[in-house]
Amino acid sequence: MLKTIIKRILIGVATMFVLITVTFFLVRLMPGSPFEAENVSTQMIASLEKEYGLDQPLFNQYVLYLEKVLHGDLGISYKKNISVVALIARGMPATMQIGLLAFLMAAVVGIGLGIWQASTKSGFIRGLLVSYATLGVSLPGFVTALLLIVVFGAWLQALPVVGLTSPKHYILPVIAQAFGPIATISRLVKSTYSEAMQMDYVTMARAKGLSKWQISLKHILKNAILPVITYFGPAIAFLLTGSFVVESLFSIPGIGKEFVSAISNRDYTLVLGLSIFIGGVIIIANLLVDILCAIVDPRIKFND
Amino acid sequence: MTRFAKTLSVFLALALVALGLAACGGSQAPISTGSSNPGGAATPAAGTEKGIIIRMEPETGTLDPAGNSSTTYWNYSAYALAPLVELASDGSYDFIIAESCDINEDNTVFTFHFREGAAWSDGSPCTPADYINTMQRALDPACGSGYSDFLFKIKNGKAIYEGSADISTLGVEAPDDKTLVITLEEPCQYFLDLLFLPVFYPSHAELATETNGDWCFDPARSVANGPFYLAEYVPEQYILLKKNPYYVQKDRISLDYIKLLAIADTQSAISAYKTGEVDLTGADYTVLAEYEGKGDLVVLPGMTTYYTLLNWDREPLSNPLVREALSLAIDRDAIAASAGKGSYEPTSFFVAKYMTSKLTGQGKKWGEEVDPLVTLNIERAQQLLAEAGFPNGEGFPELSFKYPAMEVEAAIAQSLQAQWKQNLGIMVSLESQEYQVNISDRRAGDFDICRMRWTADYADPTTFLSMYTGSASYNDSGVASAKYEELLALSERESDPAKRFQILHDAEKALVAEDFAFIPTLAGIGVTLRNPKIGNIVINPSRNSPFYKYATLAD
Repeated sequence: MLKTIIKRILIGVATMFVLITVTFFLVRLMPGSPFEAENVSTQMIASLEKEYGLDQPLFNQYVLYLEKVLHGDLGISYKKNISVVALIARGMPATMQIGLLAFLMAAVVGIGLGIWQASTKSGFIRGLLVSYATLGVSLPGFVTALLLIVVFGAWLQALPVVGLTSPKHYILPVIAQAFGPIATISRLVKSTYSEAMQMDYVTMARAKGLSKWQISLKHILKNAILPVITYFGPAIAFLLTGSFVVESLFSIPGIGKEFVSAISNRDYTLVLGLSIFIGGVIIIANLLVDILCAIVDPRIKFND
Repeated sequence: MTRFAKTLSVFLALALVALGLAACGGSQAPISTGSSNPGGAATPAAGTEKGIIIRMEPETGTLDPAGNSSTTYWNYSAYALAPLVELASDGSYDFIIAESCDINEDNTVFTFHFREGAAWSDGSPCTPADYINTMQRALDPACGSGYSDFLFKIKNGKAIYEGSADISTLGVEAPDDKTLVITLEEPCQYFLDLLFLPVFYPSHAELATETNGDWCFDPARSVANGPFYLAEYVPEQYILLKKNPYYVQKDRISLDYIKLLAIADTQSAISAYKTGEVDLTGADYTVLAEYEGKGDLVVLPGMTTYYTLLNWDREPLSNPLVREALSLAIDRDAIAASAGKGSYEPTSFFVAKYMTSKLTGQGKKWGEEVDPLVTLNIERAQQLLAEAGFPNGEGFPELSFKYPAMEVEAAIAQSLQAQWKQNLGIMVSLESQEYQVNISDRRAGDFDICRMRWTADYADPTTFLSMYTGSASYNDSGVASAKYEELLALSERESDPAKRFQILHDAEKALVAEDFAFIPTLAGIGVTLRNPKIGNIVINPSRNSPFYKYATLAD
């Protein structure tokens, strides 16, 4: 198993290299310059580009960049004039706090709703849960976030909508971020859980007179959870790398917002730095989830 | 499960959580090590202190006036830094750090006399060296300032920037601690109007030596010579500014603190205004109906003109008859209506129509002094098009109209497309682009028709009118208007303000209504929501934007 893990890590490193290379050349293919803005003259742009070495042959810039990355230096953001590493370190706490809380909420509520939907006998509740699941999957994130802001912020004036300065400030952004994943998880759990409910060992467990909770959690869920864990990989990566919509609507100083503005600003170093960081998080999260799956279900072997 | 697998699973579960928790603990503490500034840093609130919370656009750039200053700088400097002179609401000069200025006869030597007691927030005196510090640093191309070229007006400024002269030859000197003498390359009538640009703002000569350095965000080292000083800076979240006891004109200041809160999205900012989380925010036309007639709403015409470039290097737009026809065939009211009435106004002027003009000496606005330059005349337009060889639009090639994917630009483009089709029978295809792509196509001259927008950099018509001379770097559409260039050159030699403004009006007319260089369509209007308890909002005529440093707060 150790051998396989090492192999997976090496594949991860290779993936990172490809990611860096492709991103490096792709951002340069975009028309425009990081220094272009409405009131800046052409001469000024040319002199700034020279200053930052952007007039050098592209391949030289690439080699130089790789060298820097190997030394842990992701360069300086052109627009913000601070090092990309510092910028990521500054934006990460907010993004990760929201992401982790949203992930926990999505996992707990999503699994709960999934089980409820699979086991309830009331058609009304099932209908309600199915409509939520459909809504959650199909409603774009910005609609959910804006609705929450308008209803709980502007109308009811119950919750604040700017920043993360108190625990209360976390409620709306976390719900906004978890809304979609909850629906996806509940749908997944519902289908695997109802399948598992039909299994002989469940009937057996009932016959043995085990309590409802014991059957549900120990026997059914344990067997139904595998596809959900597989989904956790991309989900946690998605949640931890931040959401542009949630971060910009709730004015949260995270990296998701940074990423999108870096692209439209042509802030090359920042786009690359964030790609490397987010790519790293995704690779690690997926690796951990794969290993976790193998542990939960011993039938999954790591022998390729 | 083997023992190894069990240990591993515990480890992995922990790792997954750690991946998230890693950075959660040390949430951002405000940077407030300050001892250099008075009072150090404390959160406002607490009872007696009066202050307001103003929404700002999220951070870009530095707070260093000599560096790549951008939106954050403008928000910050309006309160923390004081210029030598600034424009008052009525267009007169309000002397701030300087108490007077002597100007020689031909407008080339400006001598500023500093106020007694001008000081920084750490108590050290504010001297000419602080203003020279910014100028010198901003003439290093590495500074990243977009405003360095305004220093080219100063003697040797351009040569220094280009590396062909030494920094010591710059036409600025301080014969003593209270006098700053600036010598220009050529006469400039509106030089005092330029002094609110970042490169003419002060930076402490001893503390601010590293351009774009970290010092500017550090309350201990980032001192202020304006009404408020930097007390707390939390990146991407807020900037807290507190009243500066050393400010030379502190009697004019009423508030104890101003907090600038970063909110990116306009709709979120409007919601935050409703929840009471901000007292002042820029808004848009969506709030006009809701707040109509209420004290919350402040509507101010902006200094922005939206116009449509016609590429002179492409057939058939190289033909002046065609350009005139395209210009006369459009109804600007209809464009304003489709772009959102209340946020935009029709204009046929290139110069911002609400810029204060000096033609009559009565503080009238640019657009009020003369008749509209171009008015709708479909019949004449059709006739012109026929003269150009395209009767009823027959044989007219399909042109493409490039614009960035923004609501107002799309509205202008669609409205023009429809009107040209209906009134002239010509087809224009619309090409919506990403913002940066549009800029780079425009800069390369790669377009038939392209949107353009310009906001005044300073309160003189030349901020617009200098853009389309043959050599100007913004002349992306190949404009070559001899009469306009002649008049513009003439205006530089004219020292009588009224005569000069008449010449500038004529130059604009030659450009827009005789050579039909491009088509001005809309003027922007700024909508602001403010807590009705806030009074004494001052309008800064340089940008026609509200200034809150003199604001008062009712109980």
